[in-house]
Amino acid sequence: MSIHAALLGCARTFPDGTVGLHPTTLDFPPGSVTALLGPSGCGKTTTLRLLAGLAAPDRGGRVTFDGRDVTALPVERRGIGMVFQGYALFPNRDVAGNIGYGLEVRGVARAERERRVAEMLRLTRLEGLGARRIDQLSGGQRQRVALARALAPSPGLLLLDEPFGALDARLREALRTELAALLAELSVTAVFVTHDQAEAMALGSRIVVMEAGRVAQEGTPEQVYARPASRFVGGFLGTLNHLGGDRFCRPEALRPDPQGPIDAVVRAVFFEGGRRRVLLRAPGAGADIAIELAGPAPLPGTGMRLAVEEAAVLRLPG
Amino acid sequence: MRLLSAGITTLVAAFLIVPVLLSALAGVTANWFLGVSGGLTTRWLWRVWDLYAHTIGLSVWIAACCLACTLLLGVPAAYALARAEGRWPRLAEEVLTLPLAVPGLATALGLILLWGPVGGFRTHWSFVLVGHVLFTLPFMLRATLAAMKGADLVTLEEAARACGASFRQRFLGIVLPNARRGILAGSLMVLALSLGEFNTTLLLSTPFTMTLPVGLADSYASMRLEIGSAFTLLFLVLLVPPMVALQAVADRVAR
Amino acid sequence: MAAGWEGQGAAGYVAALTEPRYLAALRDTVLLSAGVAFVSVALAAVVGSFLARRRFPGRRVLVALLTLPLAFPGVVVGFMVILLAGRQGVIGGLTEALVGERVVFAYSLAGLCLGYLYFSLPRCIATVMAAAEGLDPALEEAARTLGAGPWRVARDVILPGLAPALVASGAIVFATCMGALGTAFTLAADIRVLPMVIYTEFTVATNFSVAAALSVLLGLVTWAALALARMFGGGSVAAQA
Ligand SMILES: Nc1ncnc2c1ncn2[C@@H]1O[C@H](COP(=O)(O)OP(=O)(O)OP(=O)(O)O)[C@@H](O)[C@H]1O
Ligand SMILES: [Mg+2]
Repeated sequence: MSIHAALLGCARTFPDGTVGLHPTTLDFPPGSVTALLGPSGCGKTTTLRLLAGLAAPDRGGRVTFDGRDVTALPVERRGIGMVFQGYALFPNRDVAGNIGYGLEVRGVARAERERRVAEMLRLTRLEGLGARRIDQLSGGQRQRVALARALAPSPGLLLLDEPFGALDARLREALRTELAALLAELSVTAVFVTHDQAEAMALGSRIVVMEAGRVAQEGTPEQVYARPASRFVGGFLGTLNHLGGDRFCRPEALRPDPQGPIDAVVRAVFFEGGRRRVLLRAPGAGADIAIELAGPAPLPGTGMRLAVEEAAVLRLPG
Repeated sequence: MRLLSAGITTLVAAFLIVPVLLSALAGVTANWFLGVSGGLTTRWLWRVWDLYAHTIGLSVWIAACCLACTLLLGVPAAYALARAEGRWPRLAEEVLTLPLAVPGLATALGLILLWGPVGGFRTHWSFVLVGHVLFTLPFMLRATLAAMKGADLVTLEEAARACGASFRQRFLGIVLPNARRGILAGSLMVLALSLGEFNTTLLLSTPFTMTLPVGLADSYASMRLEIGSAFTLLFLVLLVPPMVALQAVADRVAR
Repeated sequence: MAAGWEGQGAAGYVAALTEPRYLAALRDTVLLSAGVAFVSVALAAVVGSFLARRRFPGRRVLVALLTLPLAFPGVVVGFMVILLAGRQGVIGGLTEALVGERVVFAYSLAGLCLGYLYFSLPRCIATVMAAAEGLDPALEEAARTLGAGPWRVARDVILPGLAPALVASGAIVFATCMGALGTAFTLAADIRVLPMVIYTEFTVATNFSVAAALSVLLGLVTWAALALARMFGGGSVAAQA
């Protein structure tokens, strides 16, 4: 029973006058997985807290769940699940106690609660850890407990604030895959915050890019990557080469071509595992141009001509 | 629930603040029975000054000496504890809670039984001072130690050492400045505690070495209510500055 | 001489542990201190977390005023109780005007309790406030997203978070009350608390050995309370003094 959530003209001004979010309207269809992406301080957490009910929108803003106005409904009655940035696990409860808390509060009978907790432990691959204290868990395990705790009461809307923020790169990737599978299985409406564009694209069925308290662009990962609405969005989602004027392109749109129109000099080569990233300096281009090569590495200082795939050129006015 | 908390907070605040105002007021009313309508006067304050000025002087003097002693003893000791490793510091911190467990009365009894017969010591003001130093030293130690630990002094000193600083340069240039908040808070606490110490002092003092709180007890027992109030007012005037300063220091540490 | 002292000392301990009036004083003092500790901690839990969590104009001044009595000696506190509830006290005046009868309780157990509460509350409030400011607000928010209302949050998140501070300040208040002499001295109350007994044994009866034995007994009881508190998670007992 996933929820259709929406923010209608929601802004958020803090008591000290800081504007965390300008008036914003966003739709979160049932079962969708939305990534809120943007640099630090752009208002991602603020947006999430408005949805959760942990913060109230400025006057005039409304939050609706399935069309019902929940703006004045306190958090505890919204029936959401939330994974906090630092997980916020209760240190005075063991793993099972944390996961079962939402059910306990709802007055679910003990037997049913235990069944459900066991199910969540299995789902998040934490079998056998139910009686562990929180400070006896690894970072990845904590993250899973936080997820299990949020999911146990079967919320209609799942909110995650930088769910993998505190983990190392390998673990992030592993857990990302797990979460993607879990979300697909549960078909819950999910909104998660991240500042990692790879994570947003891998996990989100939709990406909302934010900049300075405003939505800069929203769309599927493909749309946002291939057709960014601005230089900011384009640059945030991946490398954006400036070809001069208002012409930009992704590294994939450039290839070495002896007949190519761009005459460049290799500046540096970075080995990236499967392929190499080459930085070149070209006259007319605003900054270094990056391309990706699979073949043998060129030496820095050598010349190289490049051709660009015109269909992939982006025209982004400043 | 918020309303309930606010209500309880208001009641508790009233309970703590109203008596202070009452005693301040009673000290300047001509007649407490008649209340403020009976007129205000400074007469009682002058009476107190005539009767008890020497106790005020002695208390201030002892508090100052006590501060000097606790600084000289407490700061180096805290420094040693902050740097020490192993089980000794643990044990020392255990000992630091002792003044709480040992009632002031017991300290006084011990001092009297131990030193009472020694020459003119028993009747000298320094006898009271010893009691105060014993009572306040742990507070100075604890405040300074906490600041030194909080500043991660060991690392800072290693850094200073790596820069070639001598022990003297490190202690004066790194250790003291970084622990100054703690030392200041400890000093203010020592002043306030020494000024108000009663449990130990009652037994240690003699009629010739009567401190302010003992004088207060004396006035409560033998003088009219207005004089007791006026004396309390004078005491508060003396006590409030260090307490307000202490609060300000705590506020700045918190931020 | 030394032998004489020792003999006397042993007799003192025997007297301290067997004579009913000493034991009664010990019992009364322990009960009084424990009761005051419990009430101060309960009140401070509410007041301290309220002051730490809410922002309102004048809050800093209020906090400063509430911590001011921290350094008041017991004698002054006793005098304040007299001003409040003594023969010429405000409460007496108020009740006389309202009910026609002067209510005077300064010199009774209630007066003593009020006095002990007066010097205990500031210390507890300061400790609880510091602890409440250190609580992670995300824990409370997490509980709320899971469906916990304000009372559940208070019970399941805030209280467990404050528990070490509550235990620590309770133990310290207990210890302070056990050793408090000034308030009882000023009130000259009917109730005989142990420090007053020790004082009279020493000065009036010049019964040094009993006084010393009772002091040691008093010290042991308070030390045990502090040690117990430390065992039960009040690791900050030393730091919070
Ligand atoms: N309590 C507050 N009071 C004042 N300003 C705040 C408060 N909380 C957030 N802000 C400001 O609001 C803006 C948006 O904050 P928000 O927490 O939503 O950013 P974010 O996108 O989540 O950033 P990050 O990736 O660093 O978590 C920031 O400029 C921040 O400084
Ligand atoms: Mg954030």
